[in-house]
Amino acid sequence: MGNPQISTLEVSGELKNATAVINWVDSELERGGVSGETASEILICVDEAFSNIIFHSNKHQSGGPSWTGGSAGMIRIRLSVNAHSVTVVFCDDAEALILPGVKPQLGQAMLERATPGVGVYIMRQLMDEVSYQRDGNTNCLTLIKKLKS
Amino acid sequence: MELRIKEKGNVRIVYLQGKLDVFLSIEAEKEFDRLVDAGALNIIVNMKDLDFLSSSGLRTFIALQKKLSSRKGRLLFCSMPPAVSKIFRIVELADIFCICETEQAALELFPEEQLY
Repeated sequence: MGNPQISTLEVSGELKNATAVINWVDSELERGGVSGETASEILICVDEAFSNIIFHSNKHQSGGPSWTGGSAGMIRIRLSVNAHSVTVVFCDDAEALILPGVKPQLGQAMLERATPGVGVYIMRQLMDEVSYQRDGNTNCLTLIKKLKS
Repeated sequence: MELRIKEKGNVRIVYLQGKLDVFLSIEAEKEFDRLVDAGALNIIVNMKDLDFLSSSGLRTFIALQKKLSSRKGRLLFCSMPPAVSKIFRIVELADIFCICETEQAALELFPEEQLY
């Protein structure tokens, strides 16, 4: 692939849009020649990122953060595919995110209590780079997956 | 995502197909709740045609495991594609859940009288 394939999507940050976002990324990856386990791992991380943004945007509602009950406003997604890597950037104007820096409780603990941070941990295991930047009032979460040549 | 259910004696085999994203995980959890509320105690989830699941899908299965355990039921998984089994390994649930290579291997873990 010579020039990178760049695509953008803007959706309302509501859980019901997750399937449309996943399907869009899936078809863009296919167009860029990315398939199989690599594509599946990217889709998993896109789902984690999208749901995390919504989850944290609802963190002030009574009962604590949840996936329902509100909207993260508009979420802008930029997908770039080149011969070496896939980059997905999520931007939104909600409150600043704090990505957990420690390994969450896993395994049996997940059956016994809520263990925050599992989604971010999965992203860090599957992607080559997960980074977050706060630019003014905008959150930007960047996921990079290197492609095997 | 499609969800199809087959009865085999006292065991319900649930076939998941497609992408179990965060929104569809919530829908799947409702389906599993209906199944358990209708009396299902032994469930095998066949993942042969499941493209992926994320942490939200895991939470659906954790909730199902808790419900079945409290009723002395059993939850088994079979035919996991590599992308799915990798997630179970990453979150260290691969040795906690009962995961079988094939549907037949999962069925063989139930007493014969429960399958007719």
